[in-house]
Parts: sequence; structure tokens; C-alpha cells
Amino acid sequence: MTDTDTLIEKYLYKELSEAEVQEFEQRMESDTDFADEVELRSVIFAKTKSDFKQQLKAAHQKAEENPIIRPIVKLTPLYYLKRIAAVLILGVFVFLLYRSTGSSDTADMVTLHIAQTHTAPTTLLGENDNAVAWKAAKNAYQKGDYKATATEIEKITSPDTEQQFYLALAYLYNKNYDKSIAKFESIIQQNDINYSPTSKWYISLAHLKNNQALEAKKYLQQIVKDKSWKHEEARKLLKKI
Amino acid sequence: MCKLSDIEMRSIRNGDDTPFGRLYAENYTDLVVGLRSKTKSQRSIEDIEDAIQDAFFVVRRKIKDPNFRNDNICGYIVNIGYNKLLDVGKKMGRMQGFEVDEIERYISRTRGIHDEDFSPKFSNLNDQQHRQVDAILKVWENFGDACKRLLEALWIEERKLKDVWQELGHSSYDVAKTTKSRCVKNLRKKVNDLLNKIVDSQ
Repeated sequence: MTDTDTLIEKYLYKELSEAEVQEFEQRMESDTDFADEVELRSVIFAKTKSDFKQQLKAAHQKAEENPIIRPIVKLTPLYYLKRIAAVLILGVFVFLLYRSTGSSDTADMVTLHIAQTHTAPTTLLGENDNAVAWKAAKNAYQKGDYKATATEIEKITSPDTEQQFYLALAYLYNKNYDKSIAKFESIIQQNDINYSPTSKWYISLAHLKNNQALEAKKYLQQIVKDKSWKHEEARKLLKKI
Repeated sequence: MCKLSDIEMRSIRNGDDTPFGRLYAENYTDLVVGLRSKTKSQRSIEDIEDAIQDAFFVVRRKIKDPNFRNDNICGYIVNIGYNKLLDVGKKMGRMQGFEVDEIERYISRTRGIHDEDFSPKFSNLNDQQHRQVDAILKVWENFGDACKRLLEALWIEERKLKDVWQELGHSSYDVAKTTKSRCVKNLRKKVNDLLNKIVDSQ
């Protein structure tokens, strides 16, 4: 019998041989644990692939926006001297810039993390005014209309933690970092097991976008220390800051 | 240059995907032109781009094999992309299980990323499947850390349990195997609980 992980991995990459297809189908019918793992792993696989492809698109888009132009030049001694002088000046400038605001790598990483938008909410409420606004907010979020998401959630009287969380996210995706930070701070203080750790990650991104590296560091260090959600990414970001 | 440096290869093997962004952006035109000519320009640019990105995802996995050869990586990507366009493995899509491509399309679309990149057809999943996918993603985001780290290593970084059990602090391979099984069951239970909660609230 093929090992479960190998069989599922080959299924996801469409690499099963005919004999393995039969084995896979037979196990799907007779082994509920196997079928459960296939379903769960298929969704996580699809999400990983979607995130990965998004990362490729973002890198290409960035390169398109900042094309490298290579002029044709005459190679004279003066040309080399000018290049050396330019490199030295640029080196000093980059060093100073790096010390004051962090590297552009960090900015790219933060932008990529923000581009990987959070999953849409799934909770539904009963039939009342709040439910109508929440449903509209959920739809707007799914469509990527974060301005409408914020407008709809702001209509909700006494929003619960989940709704506050999506409001903070909507502010973040709308580049309204101050409002996003204030909202995430309030959620973190509520110590909700579902939303407090997640909010620490997003508030770090918002602070970095606001050039508040010290504040971002504080939350990133907490994430790494608690080994909470996105702790690996937080560790990588901390190295870059 | 269509080549990954040794540092980039090491970085990818440690779970960092950013070098692929550089490789894709720098070689985008060559890859598109290469695949287009191979298909005799019979495919749309969107299909070509999607197939190239799919091919990168395949390379992401293959690169973890220490015997992976880093020469002519773009040629390799064009070949994989070409096979994707020819629907090699399409028979797998019809077999029992889950339409992974449909789930991916649904996830990309619902996250609101570049809607124009996706077909107007939302996805071929039904409402129940949409709810299931949403619930799994939701539970996954807030899933307990030890379990999530283990499943991430196996499912996202695609490493083998025999290679990671020590690194993740398990006392033996068998203990790690039992923990993994318990984690999958726990994840399933939480997803079912959330789905029941949604049904109850409707």
C-alpha cells in the first residue's frame, strides 16, 4: 500500500499512475480518515497555490512598474570614474536610508503580505438590520471592495469581535493605516483567542506601512515569542527590519 | 538570467518562495514567448500565464529534491506549462475526490485579487462546497499552533514526516505520526462544528 502522504501528494499534482488511481479511489470509499485528509489537504493545497501565484503576479507587476532601462554608453575611462563615484554616493545614500527607514525588501515583503488578503468571514446572523449590513459587508469583502466593507460594518450597532476584525482589515486594505491600527489595538485588548493573535500580525503590517518600525517590532516579537499565527513570517520580517 | 543561485535554492528549500518572484519577473517575456510559440499562438495570454505559474508551482516542489538540476530551468518550466495546457492529467480531475483547480479558482476569486484575471464564471463548486472551503480556511487560520506547524510542514512546505519530526520536537517518528493523525481529526472536527454553527444560525 502506498504511503498516505505520497498518495495524496501525487493526487494533488495529478501524478497518480493507473494502479495508484485505483488505490486512491478504493481508499476514498473505505477509509473515512483518508477521505477527510484528502478534503482538508486539497483546500490548503489550493490556497497555497493561489498565494504562490499571487506572489508571482505581484513580483511581475512590480518589475513592470519599475523597468530597468539600460542605455547604450561609450566605454571611456571617464565613464568608469563616473560609475565608481556614482556607486560610492549611492552606497552612502542607501546605507543612510536603510538605517533610517529599513530596507526596500521590508516594504516589498509587507506589500506582499497585505496582498494576500485574509479569508472572507463565514458567520451568518439572524434576520435584523445588523445581519443585513453584515451580509452586505461580507459580499463586499469577497468582491475586494474594502471601502464598501468598512461602510457596511460601520452601520452595525455594537459589532462583535469578528466584525471589528474585518473592519480593521478593510481599513488596512484601504490604506487607512491609522484607523486600522486603532481598531486592531482595541481587538488585541479584548484577548479573544480567535482574533487577538491574528490582529497582532496585521497591526504589525499596518505599523510598517506607516513607517512605525518600533511599534511593529513590538508586536512581531510577541508573535515570535508566543509562536502564534504567522510566527515564521514574523521572524523573517524582524530580520529584515 | 534563468537560473536560481545556490543561495536562492537553499532559501527555497527552507520554505521561502520569494526567489521564484525574481525568476518569474525577470524571465516573464521569454517564458510567455516560449510557451506561445510551442502552442503555435493558439492560446490566450491568460491561459499561457496561468500555465507558467502552475509550472512554477510544480518546480517549487521538484526543487526540494536534492537531485534537482538547476540548468535550463526556463526550458523545464515551458515544458511543464505546455503539458498543463494539453491537459495532461485531466483524467485525474474527473476522478473521485475534490476539484482542486476549482477550489483554487474560488479562493483566488473570493479573495478579490485581480478579478479581471479570472474567468467570469465564478466557479463550478456548489454552495455547499463553497461553505466547506470557507469553513476549512477559517478554521485553518486560527488552528492550534503545534498542530498547524506540523501540518504546515507536511502540507504547505511539502516536507516528509521522517525529515521533520525531530525538528518539530517530537520524541519519535511514531509519536509524530500519531500526533499528525490527531491533528487532522481535530481540524476536521472544528470544521464540522463551524459548519453546524452556520447551519444553526440560518
